[in-house]
Amino acid sequence: MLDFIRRILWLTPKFFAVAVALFALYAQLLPKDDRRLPLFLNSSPGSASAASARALDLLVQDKPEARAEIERLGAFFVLYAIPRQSTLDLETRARLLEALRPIRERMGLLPSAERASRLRDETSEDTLFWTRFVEERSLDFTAQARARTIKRLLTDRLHLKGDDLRVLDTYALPALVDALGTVKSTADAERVRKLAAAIARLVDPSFALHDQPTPDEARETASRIRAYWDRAGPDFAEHAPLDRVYQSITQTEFLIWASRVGRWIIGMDQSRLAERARLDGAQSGRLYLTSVLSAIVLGPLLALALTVRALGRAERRRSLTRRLALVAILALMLGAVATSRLTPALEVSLAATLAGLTSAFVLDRELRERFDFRMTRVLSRRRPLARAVAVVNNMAPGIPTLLPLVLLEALVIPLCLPGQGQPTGFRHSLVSAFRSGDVEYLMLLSLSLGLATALLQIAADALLNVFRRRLGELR
Amino acid sequence: MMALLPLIISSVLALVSAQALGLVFGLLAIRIYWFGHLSNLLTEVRGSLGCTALCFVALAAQMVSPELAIGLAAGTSQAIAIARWMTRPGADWAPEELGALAMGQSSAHLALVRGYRRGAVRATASLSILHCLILWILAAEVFPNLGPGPLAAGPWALSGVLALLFVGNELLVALLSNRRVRP
Repeated sequence: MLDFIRRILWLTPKFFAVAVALFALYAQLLPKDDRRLPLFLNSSPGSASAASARALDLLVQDKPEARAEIERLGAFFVLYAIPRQSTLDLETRARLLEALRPIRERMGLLPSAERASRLRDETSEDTLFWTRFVEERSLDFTAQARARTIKRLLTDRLHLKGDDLRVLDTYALPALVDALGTVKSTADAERVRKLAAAIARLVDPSFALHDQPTPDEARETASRIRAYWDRAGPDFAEHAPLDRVYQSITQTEFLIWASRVGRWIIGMDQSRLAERARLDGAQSGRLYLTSVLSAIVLGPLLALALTVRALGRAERRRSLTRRLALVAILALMLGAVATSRLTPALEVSLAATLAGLTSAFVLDRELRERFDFRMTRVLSRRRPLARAVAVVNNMAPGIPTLLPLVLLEALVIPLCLPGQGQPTGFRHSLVSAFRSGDVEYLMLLSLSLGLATALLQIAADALLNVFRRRLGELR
Repeated sequence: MMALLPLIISSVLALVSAQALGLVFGLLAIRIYWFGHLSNLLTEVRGSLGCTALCFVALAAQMVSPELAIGLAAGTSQAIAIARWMTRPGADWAPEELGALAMGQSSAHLALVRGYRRGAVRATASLSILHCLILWILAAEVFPNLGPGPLAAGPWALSGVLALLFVGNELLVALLSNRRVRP
């Protein structure tokens, strides 16, 4: 009993180790799409100040992409660059103020038309404005003030329509994304609508939701925003020296994948894999389950029938029966592989027969070694029921031994069947996942199968212990 | 027929590696206490990687030929299954085996012989041919440079080769374990 408790407790660390190893393997071997971060340890985690320093460097070098990058970083760049503007030459400073103008517009802080007409020198006004802005508003750019502002947006009792939030600009983004939370009710959907509107204004207009979205629509948008934030978030992160250690682990491909899976499991995010798994399950899942059940139920029954029959007959007939079984396995395997157009009913029956025969093949071979010539001679003179009892007694330990192995053997069958030419099913998904480098799908498939194998193995070993004790008692 | 040559080579490799590695794993699991736990872990990893053994194929194919890579991937997978079969409770020791043990024969040697004779061990090794076949079919789809795969040979040729490999494996094992041929 203690052994099984220990084995169950070991499942978590074992699966963590297996997940790390699998992730490393898949990420190294498969084609890369948007994987840019280190896999497990980021020695230089991203931060707002690092991203701002890069953007300022681009501006100094007068690179064309500098303006877009500065606009993307928004308030974070302002807080970084304005205190350093005195170190820049006059030309760069003018470019800096020019680049900051869209941010000021986004904050809603451009001078009125009347005031603008009275200004003689726009550059001096900009310089003065940003210097004063950073000095006077520095207390607004703290985590506490930011949280308070977002709370005000969500309650909106003063009907401010988020004006104070506009001034915070991108500084509000991390807290806005955090506040999205889980969407279950219409109240949650309304919260996401308000937050998504603020995020869309700063990042991408496509994140905006229409009035009165349904919870499903809101969850889908929140999932898209969080998927964007997984990649973009590090450029808007502020950290104290100790946070650096934490972020060197969190800003990695593995942790991004793990947090996505975690959000999917607790129902925060909609996963694209869920829809794909549903489609695959509709086609191949049925075949797979049929194969597993057939291997566990039909296989032993077939092995029992074959052996009981063989024990009552002559040696020559017995080997002929087995030879026929072998030929049937081969013929069905070939039929499964070579035939491209099968009706669903034929596919299921083919899967059941093939899995049953494969399992019967293994058990039958195992049984053959257990009945030596003495036992065969004795049993051949007994009634079929007595022979069946003897066969069941000898076959019993074989079934739990086979259980965890069957999960993989059965998977071969849906992978063999071409699936009526439809672009769904395990085979199609597996091939396209390999081609496109879809690590998430492969990890999901691998870990689900691994977990199922582990649990089945623990249960099977518990059953085997019962048989082992029984065998011990018989001796 | 030439299309079947890679399948034949990899299947033979898979059969040999499954039986050789399987016996080594099984013997280690019987003789070394902690390897029993490792054997359980290997079965779980086999379950995890079963459908994605292509990854190992891709990894190994960078260093060796695809035939060897596929043969080793299928063989290793079945070797783990063989180790599980070898460590499970079986029939009582035969009188001649008990006699050999009493005469000072190494119990490891006897365990190896018993494992080799177990029907499930040989059947599991034989199934590595099917794993080779599916790996070739998937590999041909994922890596087009490998060609059309064994399906291009036609169903009858494929059927004949698979049957020959199955029976050949049985003959080989029977020869090695000095037993009467009963395919």
